Amino acid sequence: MMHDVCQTSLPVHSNTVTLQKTGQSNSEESFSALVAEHQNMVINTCYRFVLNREDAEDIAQEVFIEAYRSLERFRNESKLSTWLYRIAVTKSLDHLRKKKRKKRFSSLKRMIGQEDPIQEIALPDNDTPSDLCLEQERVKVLQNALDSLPDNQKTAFLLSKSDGYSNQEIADIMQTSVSAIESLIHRAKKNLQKKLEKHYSAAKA
Amino acid sequence: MQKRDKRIDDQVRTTLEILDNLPQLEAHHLFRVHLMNRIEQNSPGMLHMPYMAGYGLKMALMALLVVINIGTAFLFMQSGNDSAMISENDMLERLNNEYSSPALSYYLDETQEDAALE
Repeated sequence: MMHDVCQTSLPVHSNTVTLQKTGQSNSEESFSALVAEHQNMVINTCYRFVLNREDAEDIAQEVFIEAYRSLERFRNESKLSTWLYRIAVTKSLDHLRKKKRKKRFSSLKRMIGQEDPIQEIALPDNDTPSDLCLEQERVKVLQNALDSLPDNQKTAFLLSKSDGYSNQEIADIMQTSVSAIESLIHRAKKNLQKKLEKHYSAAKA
Repeated sequence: MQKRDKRIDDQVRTTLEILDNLPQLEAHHLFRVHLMNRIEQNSPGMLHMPYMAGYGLKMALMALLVVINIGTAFLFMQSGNDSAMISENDMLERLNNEYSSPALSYYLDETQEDAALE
């Protein structure tokens, strides 16, 4: 009996993985290999945006689900890794937008007297409770400052802070030029500096 | 004033350093298992999609043929019923015309009157 052979060539980072979709188990194995190769990079990319491990893992799962759904539509116009990280960035930005909306809603609820516990940011273990408090406060300040940046500045800046992304790769992910990325990172740094200075000078006053 | 500015600069630098010092995360060892479960739960059969894709066209054609066959049979039966109904109606109408003439009604009425007298 003849089998229908659907062969898809997927360029993954430096090497090229060929997916031979001759059956369910083969495609599952290939997808599983793809996840194994990129899961850490995707999780760490999401983590840079959301600063929370659980959220980062949840978003990473959504990224791979989306990738599985649209794998048929992937047209080799870019590297598979670039395509995956682009989905990761989009999903992370969506998550931040949802969180911002939720935050606004919860502050509205507090105004009308209904308490709503805000999700706290998971932080690395610290020695003392005061250190933890201070660190938590700093993360909040940083998140607020990052939230105030336009999406393209935020994305370029946060990807530049992630290990493993060159400016060329960031440009590929954001579908723009390297010089545009350099400019976005520069402007993001400047804006962040300004926001944080403003915050801390107001706090001191 | 200079001291204050320096303190603000230090705070800003420390805050920005958070991003540089973020730990490199390793995926949970069950990450892939959870992922596959979620894919399966979200849309059962999604994992079978690439396998089924090759048969999609054949299945669609088969389904179309079945629908056409059923449709044709249904139409044929429907037209048979209609012609039977028409002939039945024709017969009733013809009978009605034959026995509802005024001449016949006279005899019918007379017969009824005779029966009443008797």
